[in-house]
Amino acid sequence: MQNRFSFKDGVMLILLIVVGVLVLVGMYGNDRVLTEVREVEAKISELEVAMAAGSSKAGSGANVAALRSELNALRDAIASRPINVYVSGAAGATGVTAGEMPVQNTEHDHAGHGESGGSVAPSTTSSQSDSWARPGYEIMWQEPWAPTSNPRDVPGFEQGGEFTEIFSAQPPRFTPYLAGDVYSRRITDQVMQTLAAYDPETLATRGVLADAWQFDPDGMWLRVHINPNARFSDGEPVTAEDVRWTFEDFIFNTRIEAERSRSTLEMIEDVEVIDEQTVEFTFNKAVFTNLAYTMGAYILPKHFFSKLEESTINQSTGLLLGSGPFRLETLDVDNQWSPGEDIVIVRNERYWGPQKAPLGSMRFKVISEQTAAMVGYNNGDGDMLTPSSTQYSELRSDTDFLADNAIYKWVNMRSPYSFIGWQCGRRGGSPDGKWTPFHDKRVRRAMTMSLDREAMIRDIYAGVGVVSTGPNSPSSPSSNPNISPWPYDLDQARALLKEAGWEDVDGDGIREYQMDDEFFAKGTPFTFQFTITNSGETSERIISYLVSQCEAVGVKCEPRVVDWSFYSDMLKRRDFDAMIMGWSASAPESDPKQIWHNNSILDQGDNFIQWDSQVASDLIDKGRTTMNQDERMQVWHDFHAVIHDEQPYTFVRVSPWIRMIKRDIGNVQTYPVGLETSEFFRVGESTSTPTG
Amino acid sequence: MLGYITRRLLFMIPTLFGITFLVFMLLALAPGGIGASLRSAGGNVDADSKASLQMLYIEDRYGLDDHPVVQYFRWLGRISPVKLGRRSLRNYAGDLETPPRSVKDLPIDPAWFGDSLKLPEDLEGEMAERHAAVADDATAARVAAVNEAKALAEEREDEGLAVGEDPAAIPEYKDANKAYLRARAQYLFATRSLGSAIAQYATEDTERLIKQETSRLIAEGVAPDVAQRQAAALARSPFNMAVGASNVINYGLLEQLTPDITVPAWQSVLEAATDTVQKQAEATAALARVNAAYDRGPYPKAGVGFGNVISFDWPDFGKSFSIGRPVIDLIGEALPVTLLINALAIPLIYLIAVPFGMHAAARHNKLFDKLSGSIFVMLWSIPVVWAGVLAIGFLADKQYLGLFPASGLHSNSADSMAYLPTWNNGVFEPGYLLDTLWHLVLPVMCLVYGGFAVLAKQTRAAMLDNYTMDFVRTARAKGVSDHDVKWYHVFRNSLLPIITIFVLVFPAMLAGSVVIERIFSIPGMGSLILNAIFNMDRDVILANVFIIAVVNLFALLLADLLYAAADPRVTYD
Repeated sequence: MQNRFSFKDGVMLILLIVVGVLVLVGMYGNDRVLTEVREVEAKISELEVAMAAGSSKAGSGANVAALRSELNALRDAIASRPINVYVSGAAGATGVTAGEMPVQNTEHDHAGHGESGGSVAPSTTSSQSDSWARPGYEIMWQEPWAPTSNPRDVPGFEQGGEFTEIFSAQPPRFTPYLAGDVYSRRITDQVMQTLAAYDPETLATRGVLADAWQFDPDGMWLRVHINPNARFSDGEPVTAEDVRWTFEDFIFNTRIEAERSRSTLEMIEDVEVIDEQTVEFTFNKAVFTNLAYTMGAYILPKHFFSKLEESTINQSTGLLLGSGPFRLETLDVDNQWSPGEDIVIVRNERYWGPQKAPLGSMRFKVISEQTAAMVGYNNGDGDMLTPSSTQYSELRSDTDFLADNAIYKWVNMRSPYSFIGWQCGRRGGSPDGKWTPFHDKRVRRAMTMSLDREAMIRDIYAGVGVVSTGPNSPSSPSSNPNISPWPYDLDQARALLKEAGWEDVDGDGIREYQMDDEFFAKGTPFTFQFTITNSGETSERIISYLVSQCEAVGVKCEPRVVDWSFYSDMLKRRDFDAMIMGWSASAPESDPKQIWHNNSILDQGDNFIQWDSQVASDLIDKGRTTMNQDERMQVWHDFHAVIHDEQPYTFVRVSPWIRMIKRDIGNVQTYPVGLETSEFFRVGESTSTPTG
Repeated sequence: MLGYITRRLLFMIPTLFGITFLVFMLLALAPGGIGASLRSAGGNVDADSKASLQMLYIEDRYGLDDHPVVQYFRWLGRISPVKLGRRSLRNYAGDLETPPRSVKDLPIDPAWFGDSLKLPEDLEGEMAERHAAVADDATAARVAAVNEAKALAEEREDEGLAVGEDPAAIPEYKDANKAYLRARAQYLFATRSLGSAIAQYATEDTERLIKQETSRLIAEGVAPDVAQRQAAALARSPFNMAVGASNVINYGLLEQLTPDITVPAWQSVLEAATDTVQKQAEATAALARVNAAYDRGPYPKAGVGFGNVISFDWPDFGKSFSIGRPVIDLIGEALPVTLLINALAIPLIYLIAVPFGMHAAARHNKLFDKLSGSIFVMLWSIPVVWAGVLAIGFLADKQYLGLFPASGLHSNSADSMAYLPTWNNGVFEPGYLLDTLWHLVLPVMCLVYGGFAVLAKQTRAAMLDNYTMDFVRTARAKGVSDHDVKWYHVFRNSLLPIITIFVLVFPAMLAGSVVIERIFSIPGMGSLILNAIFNMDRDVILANVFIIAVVNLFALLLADLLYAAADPRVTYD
């Protein structure tokens, strides 16, 4: 055992030191290159802004040419850099020539239809020629899609800056049509555009990429005319061929794993290009949703996606190129976003619409733990947060907090509603299954009346929510405004139960059946199983409340807590007495067929409570084929009344959206569609030069 | 030695079979299923998702409707580096194009319906015509596509990349493949419609029987309302027996029954059956077309091998159901994050725990020993969840100390940072490297503090054992210094248990730390596995189980070999 420092050790030590120094030097070298590249990139985006602004003014040709050559020189400089860095915004373009350079009129005070388009701008005259249309049918001309509010009129307006939203769950990917979660939709909504969208205030369908359309009064075809000004963020025009390609060669391409959209859009029989700007859809069945579903599909740029193998698209995480007010900061097929990184989208400087986004960029950050999310938000890592109910109730009257933060709470078309569903059919679905007491609408109504939903919202959900009466959000026109919730009335509930044949004769506190029929034998006690998914404290509180209320009216409730995958299987098998769940919507009007129609009892539809009402089913069938909006709303109101009378669900609450937003974010408006984040701006922290 | 290693390696194979089979069957037999994850997003369920139709497509794509054992062997075939039978192709994007799967048989023999099915005379011929191969020069568009494919192949050949036997077949293969997948989906859909038509028929048949029975009872003089009740309780169509709990039809049972064709719903059963038979013929014809195109060899064959008999290729871990991306990509993203955290945490644990353990052994039963022991045990018993939340609440919240970031691995501005720290006009900018390390402080701290106790106690115990040995007493007796006794006589001999622990650390590193990753929103292996379990994402779970099992087995082997290296008394010959 010698611990002498030998020659061998010396050589080793020297070698180690040399390697260390080399690594350090290498790091410094790389660092310098990186810094330089960043500078060049920053300059390019500056130039892009300047160009987008400059070229919109007629007669600045010389200036533009100079800028162009400078930009080209910079691109060359980047191309010859030793490390391979993708330059954002140059998707597909290898060089910039005057002919290719797309130029857009972005003077917003001309509302996108300015007369001074410049020499290279496409014709922007919208003389409303109807040569594209089917003769004899009404043309729905659309005002160009403009922001509902003009952030530039709000005091303190400034251009630029970054807005960060904190997500509470990780979106696995955000390639359009392959992603399906709500979070990825918030990203794609800023980058992609649809043919039409819901007006944030009125919820009417309004053209976005479409400037006019004709919808068959019988609902079998739809002809859409695309705004000739529409451009993708790389400058290519949006054409009818892009629309056809999106549907036929992307969504309906069976080699692409877009089953989710394919199953919603299966009613599209054919998509035909009529001319450069016009496309016609034909449907294989007439349903009112034909218009909304078709118009609500993101239009993809064919020139970008058609170059990729289907398997590349299937495995992608973030291939996103669209015509919206924002674009992905870096779009590189070989180096896509990976979960864990923040998602950053930047303002589309070439946005074709009447107003460019005020924000310079948007960042989406995932903090899955609630406490950490709140701390992160307070530390300034994010500008918008969806708090938990408890966080909301703790902070809503905290004046220190409210000095720097605003809390918004409102019910909108995306507000989910929660309900307790009663098994109306035979448990298990088979003809040998046992009946539950809830096959009788008097019993269901009694259950509703024995639950004080106001108190549930107050005590269980920390005061967040409003009592709902039916399957549509109260903000939606399809909700019947004349219906008010059943009152909380234990006496009436007891009377109803008695009327339905349930009475406590042996005095044990639980009612027994007093009739003898095909449903129950005489003397059957009223017990039922209440199934709930495990969501911690809230489910505990729901259970204890329900058990005690049932006891009060002489009913025995046996709670059963299961996890979600078991729960969904149980729903499929219809193997429960009562359950609690929530439905969420993404449109002001949803198709009630799969939840309420008696056809959906079979076939693994979502009528898992097996509510077999012919009246309701007939109303659904009628509503689905009524293309006239007002007439259809009347049908939905009748349908709502039937549900209210029958109470297959006890509607517990509609949960409003709650958002905490920093006060240095301006122009935050709450709309029936949700939020229009693209109209926000950041006060006093301008990071880029204002344009236009 | 070599023989021993070979034996151990061979033993691994049945062990892996056992582990994966067990996990596979547990997943297959657990209630629920993969459908759950398709529907819920953020706790609520989307009302417009058409989930059951999607489920159908997805079950077909992943073959989830087969028997679990069949599925298990299919999975084995995919992860096995030795492939048997028809070889897959590898397209230019580097992804597999597997041989087209065969069309499922009709659920019920069409003969059961007698002559009632209105099928065309020459159904197969008609379908074959509809799905005839399109010649490479049939249309202008096809000629253009073929030329493009050829040009691309030439380009690849020039670059020295592999091309298929017949690159001109790519357009035909793609079209045929799309048509086949569509026909297959339609056939699937038709099968399901047939199922619901039969279920509807069964319900109506029961109603008919109830009516019959009621009128019979009334004729016998029973009061009408009583008669109805009794009839409803007794009458039951035999068809109801064939309709399972969730309307899954038992076709074997069904075939033994004779339908009553006067029930109106029978007509829709016939229509659905006709449609199903037609769709099946169509899918079969489309399969023939895609098979022909596939055999032309549009893309190069995957792996190396001999014809269509046996070949070798990388294991294919499949795709995540809930995310739709290849499992290997998901692991590729999550693993480096977990490794980074552990690469910081584990040396830290060793650097602190081993010296403390050694010192405690040297100061046996003195204050230092007791104090360090109790502090480590105290730390060990603090739950990570609590510690993590406290750390975020006090150390990260700017209302308190605000020293560290609360979550994630990088700051918002990390993209625009230089890599190394810099001083810009007197302002210190931390740079990407320091920023990342700064973000890692809290998670690493939470990962580390619980690990001290075990290792320190192990070291202490091993050292104490050796301190009482004769050779140590001898060394002391002949005047070896305390320092040399500790390091050269005792410590070296105490290495064995430390080696065992060290080797077992590797598999733990792979699995990641579920709690810490969740609290600090770190997208590592722990989060990946947790989400996969939550969503019953079979392929992700299996791939992880497989990889962790392999690493575990190798780690055990390594531990045994290191024993031999550290202790000359241990040999395996």
